[in-house]
Amino acid sequence: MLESAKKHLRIYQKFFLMYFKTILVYKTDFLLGVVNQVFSFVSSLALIALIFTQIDYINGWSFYELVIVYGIGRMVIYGFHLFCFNIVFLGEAYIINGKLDRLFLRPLNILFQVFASRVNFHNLSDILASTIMVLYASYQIQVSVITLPNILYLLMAIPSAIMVVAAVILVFATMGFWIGPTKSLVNLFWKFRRFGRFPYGIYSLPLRVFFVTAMPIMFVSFFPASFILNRPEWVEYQALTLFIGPLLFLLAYRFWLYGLSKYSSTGS
Amino acid sequence: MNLRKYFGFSRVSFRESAVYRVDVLTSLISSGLFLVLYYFVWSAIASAGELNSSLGEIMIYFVIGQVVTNTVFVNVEKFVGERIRRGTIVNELKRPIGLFSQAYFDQLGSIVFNFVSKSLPIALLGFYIVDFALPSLYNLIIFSLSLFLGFNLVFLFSFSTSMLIFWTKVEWSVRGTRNHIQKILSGTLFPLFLLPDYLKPFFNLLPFQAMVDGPIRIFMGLGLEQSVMVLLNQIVWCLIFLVVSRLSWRKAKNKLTVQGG
Repeated sequence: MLESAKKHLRIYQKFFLMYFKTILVYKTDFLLGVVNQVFSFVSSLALIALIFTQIDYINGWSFYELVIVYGIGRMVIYGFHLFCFNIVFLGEAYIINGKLDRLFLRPLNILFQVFASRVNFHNLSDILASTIMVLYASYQIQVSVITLPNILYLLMAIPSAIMVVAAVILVFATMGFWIGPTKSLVNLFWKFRRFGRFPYGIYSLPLRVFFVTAMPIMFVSFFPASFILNRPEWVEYQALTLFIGPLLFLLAYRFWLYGLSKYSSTGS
Repeated sequence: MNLRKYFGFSRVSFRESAVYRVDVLTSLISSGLFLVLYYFVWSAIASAGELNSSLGEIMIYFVIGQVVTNTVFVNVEKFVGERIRRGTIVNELKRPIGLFSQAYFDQLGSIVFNFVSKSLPIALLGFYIVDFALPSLYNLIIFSLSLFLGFNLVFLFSFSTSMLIFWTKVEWSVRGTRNHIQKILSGTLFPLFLLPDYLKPFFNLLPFQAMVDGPIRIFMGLGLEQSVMVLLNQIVWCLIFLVVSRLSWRKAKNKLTVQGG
């Protein structure tokens, strides 16, 4: 078990380095990817700023507090994009054309191979920009946000949150074994995720339940951010954030294995 | 001029769009989710601040915004980018109709499809939920006209940016960048009538308000004189981007590389 994990890690380093070199080949692709992300970032910030031209607080949350919620969400999402983005196209790139066959032939975990086959380096710019944005917003809020407990909390909460995203998307992608294409289904997840940019308290009860169960997007940004912003109302959820990622991912992985057993190659 | 050959492209793209039924379904769900989210966000804002407008009015703006964007937000980058990447652009150039016209009539077919399959259901659903009064027949006619002009403007703008792909060879980031700018400045994400006074001139000087905000305002019952102003504004921007798109196409033509394979 440990031996196998070491082997996977060693191979991942090789994959990672190889993808790093592709940046040098596709320079414009990389640079334009960064440009795209910059505009995505600026336009989302602009939207929050425009909303705050109308009022000073939404549901008791100030502009800079929501910027922190948004920034942490972006770190998590683009952490997922950096390492796991390939799963989004599982249906299109592996199932429909039968390319998944190739992955069966190697003595490596299949899901690992899907994840490792792409590293979205241009998303590093997002993670960097989001970090700067969170630091800047924390500086603007007079409450001390950058404390040792908060940093320790985030170091555990962010990887867990990335696993929440990975789990939900893995479930969507696994459906590709039955329905074929997966991209538009996964795209719906990004639409749901937008709800996590705003305070949990503004939603009606059914939606609140929905966002911590079937579509657990509140663990992605709102609960971790509310912890570092000293909002004790959701203390149970903030604690749960630390463990829910690995738990959900394990469940999603079981579903993936089940889907994989239903895979029949197209034979092409 | 024989128009039938032009509309042939529209017919094909209409049928092509009709194949992707999942795409229609996800667009509808995505618009529905958008409206639910914005309902809660703006309810929270309305309950906290002193808005100069009622929540109902803002929601009508968002509903009609979804109706408009689902029809007019075409993307020429995909059309051009696909053909450059595969190298089939050489076939398009051999045809007796220019690339510009091919792209235009192709997109025309897909907006007719989008209007019927996406915009109308959203309008019906919105009508049922938000409960707004249908505008007068005359407003509806001018609205249709401005919707068509909005499509032309988005097409010309998107055609101009798609010419960049002749240099970049990658399509998704060009399209993404244009979309981010277009969405925030056109009124899709934020009702432009709520803008603070110091920001209004900035938005009014840009072409994006003519894509979505203009048609919405006409739908919501703008007077004759102001409606005509909106249409004129759209026409002027269309003319400007007609020139831009023709010039950029002329430049791009010389930059053509046909990728074999």
